Amino acid sequence: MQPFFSSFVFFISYFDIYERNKNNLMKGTHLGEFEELVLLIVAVLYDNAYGVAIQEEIARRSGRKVTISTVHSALHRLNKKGYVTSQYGEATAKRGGRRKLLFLVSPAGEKALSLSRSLRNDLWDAIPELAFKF
Amino acid sequence: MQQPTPPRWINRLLERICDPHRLEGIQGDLEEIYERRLEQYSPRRAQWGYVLDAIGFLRPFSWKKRDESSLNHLNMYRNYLKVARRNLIKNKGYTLINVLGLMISFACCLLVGLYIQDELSYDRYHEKHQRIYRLANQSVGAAYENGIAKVSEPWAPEAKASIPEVEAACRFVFYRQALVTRGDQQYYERGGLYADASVFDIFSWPLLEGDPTLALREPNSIVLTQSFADKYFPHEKAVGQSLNFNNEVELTVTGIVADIPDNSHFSFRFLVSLNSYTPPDQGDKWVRWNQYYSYLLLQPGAEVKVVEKKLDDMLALHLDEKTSAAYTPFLQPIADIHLGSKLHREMATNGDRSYIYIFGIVGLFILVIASINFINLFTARATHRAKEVGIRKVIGANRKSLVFQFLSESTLVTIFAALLAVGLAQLLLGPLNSFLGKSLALDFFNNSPLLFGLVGMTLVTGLLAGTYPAFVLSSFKPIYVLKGPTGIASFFKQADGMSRRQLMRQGLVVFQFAIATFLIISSLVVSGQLNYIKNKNLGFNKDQTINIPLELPINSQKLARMKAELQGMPGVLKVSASANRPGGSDFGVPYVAVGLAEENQPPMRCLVVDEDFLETYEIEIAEGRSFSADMPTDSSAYLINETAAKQLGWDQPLEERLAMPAVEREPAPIIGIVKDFHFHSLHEPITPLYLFIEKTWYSELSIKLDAQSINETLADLRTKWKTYTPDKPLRYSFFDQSFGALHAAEQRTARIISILTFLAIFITVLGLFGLSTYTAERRTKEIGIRKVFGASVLDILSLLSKEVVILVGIGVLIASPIAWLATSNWLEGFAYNIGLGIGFFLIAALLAMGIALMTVSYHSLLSALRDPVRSIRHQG
Repeated sequence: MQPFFSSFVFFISYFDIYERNKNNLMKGTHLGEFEELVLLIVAVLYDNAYGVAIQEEIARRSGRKVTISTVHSALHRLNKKGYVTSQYGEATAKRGGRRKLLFLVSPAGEKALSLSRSLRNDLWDAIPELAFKF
Repeated sequence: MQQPTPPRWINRLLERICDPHRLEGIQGDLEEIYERRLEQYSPRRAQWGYVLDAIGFLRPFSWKKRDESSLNHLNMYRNYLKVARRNLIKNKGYTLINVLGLMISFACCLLVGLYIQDELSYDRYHEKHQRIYRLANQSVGAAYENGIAKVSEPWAPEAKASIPEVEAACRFVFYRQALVTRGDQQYYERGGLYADASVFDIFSWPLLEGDPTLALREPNSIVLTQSFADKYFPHEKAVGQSLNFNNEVELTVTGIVADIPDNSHFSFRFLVSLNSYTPPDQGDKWVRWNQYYSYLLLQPGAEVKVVEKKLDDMLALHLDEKTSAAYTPFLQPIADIHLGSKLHREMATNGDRSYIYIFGIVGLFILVIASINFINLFTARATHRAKEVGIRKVIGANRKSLVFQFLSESTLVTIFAALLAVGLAQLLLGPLNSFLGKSLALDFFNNSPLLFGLVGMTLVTGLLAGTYPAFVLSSFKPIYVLKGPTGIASFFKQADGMSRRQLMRQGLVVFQFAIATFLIISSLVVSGQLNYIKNKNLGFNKDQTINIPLELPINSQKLARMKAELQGMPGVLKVSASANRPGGSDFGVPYVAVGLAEENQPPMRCLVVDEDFLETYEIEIAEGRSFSADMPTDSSAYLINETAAKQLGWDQPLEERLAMPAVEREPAPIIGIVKDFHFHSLHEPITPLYLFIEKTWYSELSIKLDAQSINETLADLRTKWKTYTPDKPLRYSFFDQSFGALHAAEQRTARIISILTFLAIFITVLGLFGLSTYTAERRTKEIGIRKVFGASVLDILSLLSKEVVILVGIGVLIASPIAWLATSNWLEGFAYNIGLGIGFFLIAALLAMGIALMTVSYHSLLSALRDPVRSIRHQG
């Protein structure tokens, strides 16, 4: 009986561990183009980086019209990757009395941004002068 | 003015779906955009904008996350298993009943599944099986109902030549049992076929050696199966060598084919090229000598109906008008032949689809019975675990986790039973294979349907059987089970649940006994019918008779001398020569009843016999006289059976004459009428028959032996036979065995059904025993008190048995009409059957009742005899 039971336990425990680790395993660290844009704007807005402000800033600076849910989706992804942190601000009379969910760039986010920047810089530096002589 | 607000419903939807942590921020952002839109656009437009934006959030990223609070699931599962194991070990008796019942039923289902799978797989291994058809013929007025499986020589080649949809055609003809010689090896061999050269284009029998297109092209070529080749050429290359057949012809081996799989509707051990076969000249080739099993390969996409129509047209072209109108050629898909075809002269005995249903249903019944045991024992003992459930709930288990716990417990039992069942099935497979004459294998690695079937059956049974107990157990209110019932209301609530559960249990017991009674009735009827067949007066005596095939062609003088010599041997009672004998080998030769209109002449079968035939088989004469050696004119005379006499409708049959113009026999008198005897199986009614003497047609001897000295006589015969054919030893078969083979399928089925019935009853009894153990345990005190008040042992016994009698009675009432329908249906398949008497039902009812009473009586007696002081004293 004993080995039979233990193999059953093993089977169940394997499932359990797999389920719990699934989220961690799936989390990538790649910074997408739109994510990078959002992350930069979170940094630009600093202490007022919440959904609507980010949406407007994107529209103002890049001319891209994005829906509010797209912004939240990107913020959620950044949050899961650990590039931003979030916390609620103070309640005001506006917004139906609802608080703003404010985002801040985390050290990991800063690192990802500078990594991306230095990669670009390196690439710019490596372009031979003749390449852009049209 | 009141500010127009965003639609409430969309907010409610968001609240339901969104992650509560982010919900406020999301709604705030939506609100902010909405407020800005209100300033620019109409309220309606702003509201629509709100809805559209909000819909954007109905995406997985914003959904509530599963509660990932760190409950230690692993430890909880471990605990479930630990508790399950303790429970199973503590209640060894109940565990044994459950595991035993489930194990038996799983093993049955596995074997039944294996059998069904095998039956369904027949001929499907041919790559082109969907395009291969057998060409068969239905002839109006023939004595066989469903048509005949073989046709005459030119049909198949002409179909290929003239019908564009026919891609290829192949014909097979039986090779007579042959004496095969190579060097000093000499054996009689059966299982040979003549075949067209196209055989390997149509059928997927892989040729291990030789060229598939050329192998059977030349006359006198032979292709051997691997095992046949190994027998004669054990350590050498067979191809290119030759084998001597019947001391007449040398056949050259041109190929080796892998052994034919068991799941083929016909099989062979060697193939001889068909162009070395010379059919006897019997006149019109299109009508005579229907000995060719013909298979057609149709073009992809060809319509069977269209081809059948074209075949009909083809016959119209080659046959005279009357015959072609009577003939309806038809095509049978090769994969349907084994289960679906019941034609005259099948190549081998086919299976029967109805047996597949029967076995499948009975297997399922057994599984259901075992599952019911499981449910009943689990719920009956539920109260014993009420405290555990209460504690778990108080500590914080929710209903879901309790259901999960009990489901995993029940699944554990079924998994354990399934593992044992695989072992049991493996043990039983050997006997089953030899019984069925198959070679089934439990090979889970290469048989994924079987593996999935087993896993699925295990899990489904575990879950289904576990669901009801799990919901009953998890529904307990902790306050009642821990504090005990307080107050009237709670008492009624509990009692209500109890009686509902008891009703369910009783219903399931009724169901079990209905199934068991159904199976008892069925197996009683089946075995009764088969006994009837075995002992029915067939109209002739089939015992102590052997049949010896004769060498063709027959020399009449030599045969007469042989008969006389054999007749003179001690131990030989009677010797007869004939062309055929009862048991389905009769001929259908056209005849003419002189003076009768054609429509009054029924189709008749015939037996070609000699003067001693009736005496050898003890067939009685009803009127007139038998053939006599003293009357030379008898060699052209006829005997008919009573059915023929009736159907021909003559007033005085003995004054009338028959003729057989097709074989040039002039009209000759009917000299006698034989009593009806069963020359076919009992599935078929006795049809009109005539008997005549035709010495050149004889092909076998029938010898009636003295029962006292069969072995000595057989030895003497063997010695004697050497003097007739020194190069070919004696071979013989017992007539009762070959006749019994006509009902072999039923005998086998009956055995299997009775075994399955026994198992079903056994499992039912197991469950009932478990339940009665429980009831007796529960009512110990009640019985003690009754005894104190003066109840006798008999009173107690009847009290405890009453319930079972009622339940079984209801079961019998439910089962009887269903069993009546099913068995009467089956019996109709026999032209001669016992009929359904009330007796079967009474016996079955008594049997079921008796078994049930015996099962509960053990505990009833124990508790009835127990000293009341002891049963009342102990607290519980």
